[in-house]
Amino acid sequence: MRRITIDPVTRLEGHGKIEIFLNDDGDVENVYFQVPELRGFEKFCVGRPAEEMPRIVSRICGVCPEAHHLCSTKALDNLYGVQPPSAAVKLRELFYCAHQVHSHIAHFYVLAAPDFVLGPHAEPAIRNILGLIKRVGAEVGSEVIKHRSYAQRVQEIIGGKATHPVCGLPGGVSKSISEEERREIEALARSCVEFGELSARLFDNLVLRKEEYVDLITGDVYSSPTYYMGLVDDRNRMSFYDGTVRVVDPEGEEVVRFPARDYLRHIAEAVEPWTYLKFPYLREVGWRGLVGGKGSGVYCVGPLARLNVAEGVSTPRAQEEYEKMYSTLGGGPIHAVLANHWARIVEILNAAERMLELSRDEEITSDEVRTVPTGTPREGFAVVEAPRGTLFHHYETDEEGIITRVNIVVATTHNNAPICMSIKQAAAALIRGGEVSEGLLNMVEMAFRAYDPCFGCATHSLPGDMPLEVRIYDFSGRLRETLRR
Amino acid sequence: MRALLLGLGNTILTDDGVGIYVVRAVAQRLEGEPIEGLELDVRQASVGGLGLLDLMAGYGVAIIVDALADERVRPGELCRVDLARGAGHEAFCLHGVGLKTALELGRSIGQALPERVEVYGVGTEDVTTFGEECTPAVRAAIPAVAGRLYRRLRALARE
Repeated sequence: MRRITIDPVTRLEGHGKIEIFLNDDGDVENVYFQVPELRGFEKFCVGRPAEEMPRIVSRICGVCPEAHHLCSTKALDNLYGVQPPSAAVKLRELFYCAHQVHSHIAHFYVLAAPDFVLGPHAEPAIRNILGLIKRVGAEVGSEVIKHRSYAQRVQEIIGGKATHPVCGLPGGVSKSISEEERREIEALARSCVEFGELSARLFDNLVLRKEEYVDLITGDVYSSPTYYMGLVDDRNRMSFYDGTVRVVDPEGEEVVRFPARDYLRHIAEAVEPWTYLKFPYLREVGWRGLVGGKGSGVYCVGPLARLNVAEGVSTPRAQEEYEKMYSTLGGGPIHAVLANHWARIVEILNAAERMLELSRDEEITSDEVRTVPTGTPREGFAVVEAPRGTLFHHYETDEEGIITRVNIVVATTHNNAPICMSIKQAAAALIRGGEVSEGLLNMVEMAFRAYDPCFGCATHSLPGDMPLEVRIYDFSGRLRETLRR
Repeated sequence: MRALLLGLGNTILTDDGVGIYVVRAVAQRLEGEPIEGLELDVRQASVGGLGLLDLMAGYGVAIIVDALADERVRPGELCRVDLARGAGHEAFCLHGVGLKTALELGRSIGQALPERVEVYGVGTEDVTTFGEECTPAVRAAIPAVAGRLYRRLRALARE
């Protein structure tokens, strides 16, 4: 048998590649990043019963199966015109809050925190979770792993499986929870709230008390004013599971609010000649290319966007942290993309507090968890806030409920334009007159990491170190330089 | 010794699911020809990095089989992946850490992880198209690959 060493250069073409095009002055003209494209999803789904969708979609992404599963389940509610009983809605929300905690913990501690704790200029070999734990202590590491498992356990109790949940059915969920399970969830949730507090304290100590980091967060290189999109409840508070899509302009004024079924009336897709990626934009405002500001229809989704479109959050401790964030970084919509990391802390707190509230809800152990659908299917729409941002599912079926068309818009697609713009800004700060400064890779990496883009994680085949590769082209389109990590 | 045979992959992405198909074939063979002296669990999962820690905790040895996307490896070819050198087995995304880092992390906080982790990769042709069947060359190789892993497990039991 061959023994094979995987080095970061040998891998599938087209993963994690960033291309930078310079103009004839040697300054940055265009930037885009390339993601692997998974092919044939619609074809795969067409002809299958709609009820299979929640289990299929949970397999298209290795990181947020729960978000797809729930969004799909809600699309089936809509498809069959059925309203789940209140206890089922609460169980779904409880499950989903656990998912947010699970996902945000990994992003914050594994990906974001090392940049701040070890410094953005530290060597990648130590700028990782292991370096972080060496610096802040093994107890924090244990807490991270432990609470990730706690959140996972809650998802398992309600979802039926540790990953790839099977609980969602049109009109409700497949099973209720027992009093014993409720007590277990309550204890886990209480611990997750404490962990949220710990995370907020760590962020305060490690980031906010260091002027250079606050300057980095608020600096021009990482500032990107755009429109923002996210779900809000009926009091305009941030919402993960359900609500109305709200869009605000770069000054924070509401531009539009709409239900899932109207998404195509407000979101259009632009095509640029230099990339196969499509760029969603707000139809009301129009496409002006990769530029920010009020005159451009580019919008952003994700943790920071969610807080920017909301007027607050639903739980007390998270609300305190939310207010602290907006007073520290200066009211109104925050345009600093690195503030996404702080927004994740606010959301860990909110999701954990909400888990605890729901686990104490009298109705949560009710046996009434399903309304059997009787309507004739035709078309179903749904929206949820995935950890990385707004997620739409849209299915069409024949009268027998057999899928004829599928459309899914994921967070990374919404964020295509903002990600390219942020990378461009970081690159422009470090490439002048054809000269590439040291640290380009780090700065670029921090820019797109803030969005936590999902690179078709459905596949995780070896090797997938996702080494960052930046290619710089001159104005004639000739490859000038390739930088690799 | 408690051993884990873990198949990784996504069974709706053509060849990506090969690790899972292989361990299923091994499990079938084990039913007819159990291996004495080895307390073995066969599991399948679609997670990477940190997600693998909980799956591996408590075992003395873990054997992982996954799809391998590398132009040097023929579709269906079985390779041993060297974890100590190179980039190692990483989840195919930016959201987490790879197996090597995850193991170090787990050990640094005192988790009971296998002392020995062997990673095997099966060469693939297509891991980006949705589909529930492997490409012909990969599909044809599954019985032989499963046979080699079965023999590896038998050797392990004799150690």
